[in-house]
Amino acid sequence: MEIDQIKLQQYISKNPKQGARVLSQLGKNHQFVNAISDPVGQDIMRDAINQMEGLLEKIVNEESTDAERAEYRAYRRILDRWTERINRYKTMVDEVNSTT
Amino acid sequence: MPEEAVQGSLEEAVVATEATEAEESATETEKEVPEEKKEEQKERSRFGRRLSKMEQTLSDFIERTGQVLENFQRQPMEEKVTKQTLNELQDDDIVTVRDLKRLWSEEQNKTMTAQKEYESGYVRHLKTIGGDEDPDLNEEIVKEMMTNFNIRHSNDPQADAERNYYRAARVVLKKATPDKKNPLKGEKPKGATGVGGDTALKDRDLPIPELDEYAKEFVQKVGMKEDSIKKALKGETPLSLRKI
Repeated sequence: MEIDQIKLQQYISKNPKQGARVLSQLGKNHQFVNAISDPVGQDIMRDAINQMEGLLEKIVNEESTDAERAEYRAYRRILDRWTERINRYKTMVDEVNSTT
Repeated sequence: MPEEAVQGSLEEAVVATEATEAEESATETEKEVPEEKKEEQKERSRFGRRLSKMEQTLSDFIERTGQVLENFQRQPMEEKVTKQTLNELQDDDIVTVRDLKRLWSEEQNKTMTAQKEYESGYVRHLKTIGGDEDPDLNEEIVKEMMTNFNIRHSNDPQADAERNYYRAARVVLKKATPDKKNPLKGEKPKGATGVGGDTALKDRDLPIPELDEYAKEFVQKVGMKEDSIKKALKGETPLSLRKI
């Protein structure tokens, strides 16, 4: 998900207003991309996914408690937010890199 | 002896003589060809039986026909055609003039009812369509429609109402729109004056979009120069990035 600087500059000069908005979005979501590129971030995400998996199994087997279901919902919300931001960043990068 | 009596006795004598002769000849024949006689008798009796059977059959047939005719005459004619409409009648059905009149009258009533339903549906839908329009304009359109476009196209009153209304509306709106005048009509076209210069932008007057903190931070992280970003935001592309 590397951004091409030359294409970014071309993109901004073609449409400055849109370019400023894209830069802002890239700045907001860049940290999340950095986080999953970082070993600590990756560990956190892996733990979260493993926890979610275990909780989901209990829920499917109807063995979960109310607290476990609440925990699952919390993990899911956090991961959804994370993936949404990463996805948004990727969309922006693709848009900039596809500039001709 | 009177002449009539003599004549009578003569006739009787002649008859008696003939009978005697016939009996004699019959006795002779019976004696001569008894086999043929027997055959003939058999044939005759067979014919007799067949004839009597045919007579019986014919008599039965006549009796049955009579009964059918009697039943038919007994049944009132009204009852036969009461349940029938003009469309249900077959080609070979027998109908009296009175029934025909009644059926024709029913058919006319049906047609009139359908016509009334069509008209009421037409008017009702017309009101619905015109409800959205300006009242004055709607009045004008309806007037135009009633004058020139009040035509029945099908049995669907709604479709017809819409079709006629929008045709009339098109005419009314066309009348309301003034024709475009050709500014060069009757004059020779002149050459364009002040070509270039007047409308060209001397400088870009559009405001430069500002970067928020996230954008500035991103630019720094990526390692881009602020000047190049500023130039890009002004719409300038460095020569090195332009496509030749």
